[in-house]
Amino acid sequence: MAEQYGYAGKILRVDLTDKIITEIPSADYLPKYVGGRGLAARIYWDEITPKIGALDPENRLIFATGALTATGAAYAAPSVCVAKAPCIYPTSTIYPSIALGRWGYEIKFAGYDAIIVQGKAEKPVYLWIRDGHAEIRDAASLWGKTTSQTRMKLMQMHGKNLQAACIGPAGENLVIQSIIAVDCNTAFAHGGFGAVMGSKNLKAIAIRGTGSIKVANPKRILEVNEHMRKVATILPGETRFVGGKTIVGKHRPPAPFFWQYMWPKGTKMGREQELGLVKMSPSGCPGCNTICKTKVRLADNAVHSGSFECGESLLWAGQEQEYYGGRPAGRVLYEFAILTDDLGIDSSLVSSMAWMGFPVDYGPEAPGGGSIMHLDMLREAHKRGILTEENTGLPWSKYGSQEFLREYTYKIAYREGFGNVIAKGPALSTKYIMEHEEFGPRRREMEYLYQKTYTKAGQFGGMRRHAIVWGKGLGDCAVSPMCTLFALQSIKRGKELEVMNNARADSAWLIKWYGTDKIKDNTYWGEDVAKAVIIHDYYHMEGDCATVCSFNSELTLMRGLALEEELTWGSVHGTPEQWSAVFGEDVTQEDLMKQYERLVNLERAIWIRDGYLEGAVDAFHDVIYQEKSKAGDVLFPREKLDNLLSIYYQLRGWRDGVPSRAKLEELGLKDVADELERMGVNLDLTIGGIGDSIP
Amino acid sequence: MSDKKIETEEVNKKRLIKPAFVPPVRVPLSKGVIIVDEEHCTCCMHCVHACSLTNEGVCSHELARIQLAESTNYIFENSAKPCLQCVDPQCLRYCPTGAIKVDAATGARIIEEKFCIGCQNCVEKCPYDPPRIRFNKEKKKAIKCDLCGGDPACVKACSHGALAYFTDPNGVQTGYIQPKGSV
Repeated sequence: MAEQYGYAGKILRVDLTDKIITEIPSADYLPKYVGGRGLAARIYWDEITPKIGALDPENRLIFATGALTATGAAYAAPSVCVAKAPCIYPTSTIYPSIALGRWGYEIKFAGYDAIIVQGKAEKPVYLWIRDGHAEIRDAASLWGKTTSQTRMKLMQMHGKNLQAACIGPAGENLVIQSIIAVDCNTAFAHGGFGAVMGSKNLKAIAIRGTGSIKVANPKRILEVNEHMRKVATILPGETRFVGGKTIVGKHRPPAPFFWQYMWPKGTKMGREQELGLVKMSPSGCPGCNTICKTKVRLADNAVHSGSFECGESLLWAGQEQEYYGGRPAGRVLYEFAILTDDLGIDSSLVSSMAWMGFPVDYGPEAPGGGSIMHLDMLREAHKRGILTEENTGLPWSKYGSQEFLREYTYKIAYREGFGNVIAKGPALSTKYIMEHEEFGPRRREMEYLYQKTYTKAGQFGGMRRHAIVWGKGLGDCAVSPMCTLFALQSIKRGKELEVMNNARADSAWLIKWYGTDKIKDNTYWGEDVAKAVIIHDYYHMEGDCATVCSFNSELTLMRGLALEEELTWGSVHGTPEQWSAVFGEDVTQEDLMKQYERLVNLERAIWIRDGYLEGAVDAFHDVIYQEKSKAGDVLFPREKLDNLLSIYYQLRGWRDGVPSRAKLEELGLKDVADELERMGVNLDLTIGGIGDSIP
Repeated sequence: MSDKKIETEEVNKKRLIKPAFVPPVRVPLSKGVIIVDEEHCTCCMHCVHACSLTNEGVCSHELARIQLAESTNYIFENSAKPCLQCVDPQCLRYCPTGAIKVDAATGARIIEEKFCIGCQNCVEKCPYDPPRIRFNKEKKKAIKCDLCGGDPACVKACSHGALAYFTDPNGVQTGYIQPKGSV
C-alpha cells in the first residue's frame, strides 16, 4: 500500500450508550469525500436517518478535520463539527459548524481524521483521548462548570498541553444557541451543537496528540506558504486601503489587519489602562499569519484572560456607548465576551452589532458578515412595545449596561423566565412571542422583524438561512463576508466590496475572478450570474473541506487579483498547490471542483431526504423582494430571480432543486440516487412537477 | 530578563536535588542564536511547522525543535521558544556517549545521530521548559536545533518579524550559564 499522505488514516467512533469505542479506517470515505464538511456529510448520509431528531441519542456528533489540516499548509486551521442541528427551523438537518484554533491539529496528531460520538451516557461523562487511546470517564466533577473552569480542570487532570472541547451550562440546559467551546475562546458556535453534546450527557472531549502527519513534498509546502504569505501581507512602505482608510505598512510587524476593527477608533497598543485591561497582545490560529484575535487580560480579574475574535470584541460596543455615553471603552464588551464563552452561548446570536452603523433595517451590503443579531431584534421589539420589563423581566431601561448584560445572558444559559423563551432558538421564540397574548397587540410584527433579521443575517444567522443558499447551503464559517448574497449584491451594485482587509477590492477583481464583465450590469440576471454563484459554492466547499480558513484564502485571492501579479501558480488561491504538495499528485482547480460538485450534490440530497422539498431550500422571504435601492428601484425583481434560479438548476443538472440520477451517477453517488428513489423522489430531469415527491 | 533568572534558580534547585555528578565542560560559544521578540509573536506556529517539515519531513508539533511555551492561547504569556544554544549546554554535558557536539561552522550544539542511544538525559537536563531538545519516539533519538546550518527555516517562516537570527563571529553569550562556584 502506498504511503498515506495528509490523512491520519482512522476514524474514532464512540458509542456512549454501550460504552464501546471502535475505530474504522478512513479509506472507506477518503479521499473521495475530501475531508471536513464532505467527510462528515457522507457519514451523516450513512448514519443519520430522517427519523432521528437533533437531540435524540441516535444523532451523531461528528468532529471532522480537513484534508489539509495539520499538514503545515498555511491557513488550514479550521475544523468542522457536523450533526443534525437543532438550530435549524422548521426541520432539523445537516449543518457544518466551523471552529478555528488547534482543535483539528490535535485530533489529527492523536491519529484520527474524525471523531463520531453517538448514543447517550447514563450520567455525565467526558472523553479522554491520547494518541490513539480513548476512554470514557466520569464527569461528575465537571458538570455544571463553565467552559473555562472545565478546561482548567481537565488541564489539571491530564496535563496542560491538551486541547478540550466542552460545553457550558447553556449546553447542559439544552439551550439552542449553545456552543461547543474549543481551544481558547473559539467555538463550534452555530447550529446549537452544545445542546447536542448536552443531550448525550457528554461534558467534554479532551485530546492530546503527539503524532505527526506525513506529507509528500515538505519543501514545496513551505514554498507555497511563503508565496501566500507574501500575497496576504502588507509589505513595509506599501499603502493599502483597509476599511475605508489608507494605511501604510510599517517596518514591523506587518500591520495587523483587524486592528482597526477590534478597537474603538484610533486605539493603539499601549492604551490598555484606558480600556480597563492589563494587557492585550495579538494572536491568531496555527498556520496563519493573520491576526484575527487579541489576547486580553482584564485589570481586576486576571483569571479571565483569553483571546477574542474581532467580531466578538465588537458585539457589545454599541450598547455600551448608548448607555454610558462617550466612546465605548471596551469594558462591557470584554465582560460580555467572557460571559458568553464561559456559559457556552453563541455570542453572535444573543448580541448586537448595531453600533457599527447598521440600523435594524440595514441594507445587506453591510461589510464583513456584520449583521444585526438576535438582541437587536428584541430591542426593536421592545421599542415597539412588544417586549416590556413586565413580560420579560429584563431591565430594558438599563439596556447597554453591565447589569442588563448579566441578567440577559444568565437568563438564557439557565433558562430562567424569559430566557427560557429565547433559549428555544430564534424562530421558535419568535413564534412563541407571536402566539402569546401577554406580548400585546403588536406582537404579530415579530414576524416582520424576524424575517428582516434573519433573511439578511448572512453567516451569523446560526440557523437555516432564508437568503440565497444555493449550494453554499447551510454552511458556516467564522467570518465569511462573501456569502453568496453579499457577493451578488456587490456585483450587481458594482460597488466596492468592503471586506475588511482587502486591497482596494473594487469590482475589477470580481470581474477578473468570474471572467466576465456582464455581472457589473445592475439589470443583468443571466447565466453569468448563475455561474458566479456556482464559483461561490465551490469556493465555500473548498474552505470547509480542505478546511482552509475562507477569510484568509479570500484575502490571498483578492489581493492577488488586485495586485494583478503574474502569479507562478495556477490559482491565486493556493489550495491546488497546497494540495499537490501535501498529497503528491498534480491537482488542478478543475479536479478539485469536480470533487466539490459531488459534495454539493450530496448535501442537496441530504436536505431533500430530511424533508426540504425541492426548491424550498432556495426560497426567499418576501422581504428580499421588497428591498429597494436609494433611487427607489426594486433590487431583486421576483421574476428575474426566479429565472436566475432555474438557470442555476439547469447548469447544475438539477430539476427544481433535485439532482438528477444522471448527475448523481456521474459523480459516483449511485447509492444516494437509489435511496432517494426508494423514498419516492423523482430524479428524472425531464418529467414531473414540484411536490410529487417525498411521501 | 527577569524570567530567565527565575528559570535559572529553579533549575539549580532541581539539579541539587538530583545530583548526578558530571564535571562541567567548556565548549566554544555559539556563533549564532535565534532570538524571539515576544511582543510580536502571535503563536501562529509557522515556525513550528516549518521546522518539523524541513528537518523531519512531516508536520508535527512534537517533533519541532522550536516550541511554544504553552499549547493553549488561554495562557497569556505565550511565545515561540527556540533552542538558545547555551553557553554551558547541559544537554552536551550530560550526554553519556558524547553524541552532542559543537558544529564548527555555526557553533550550534548538534546531535550526531549515530551516537545517540535515546537515553533522554539531555531532555531531562535541559534547563528550560518546554525542553528545547526533543525526543523522536519513532526513531528513539533525541533531536535538537542545529540552526539549519546557519539559515534557520523558522526565521524564514516567521511573518510577524518576531524571530530573528542573530550572529556574531566572536560567539554569543546566550542561554544557560553555569553559576560561578557550582558544579
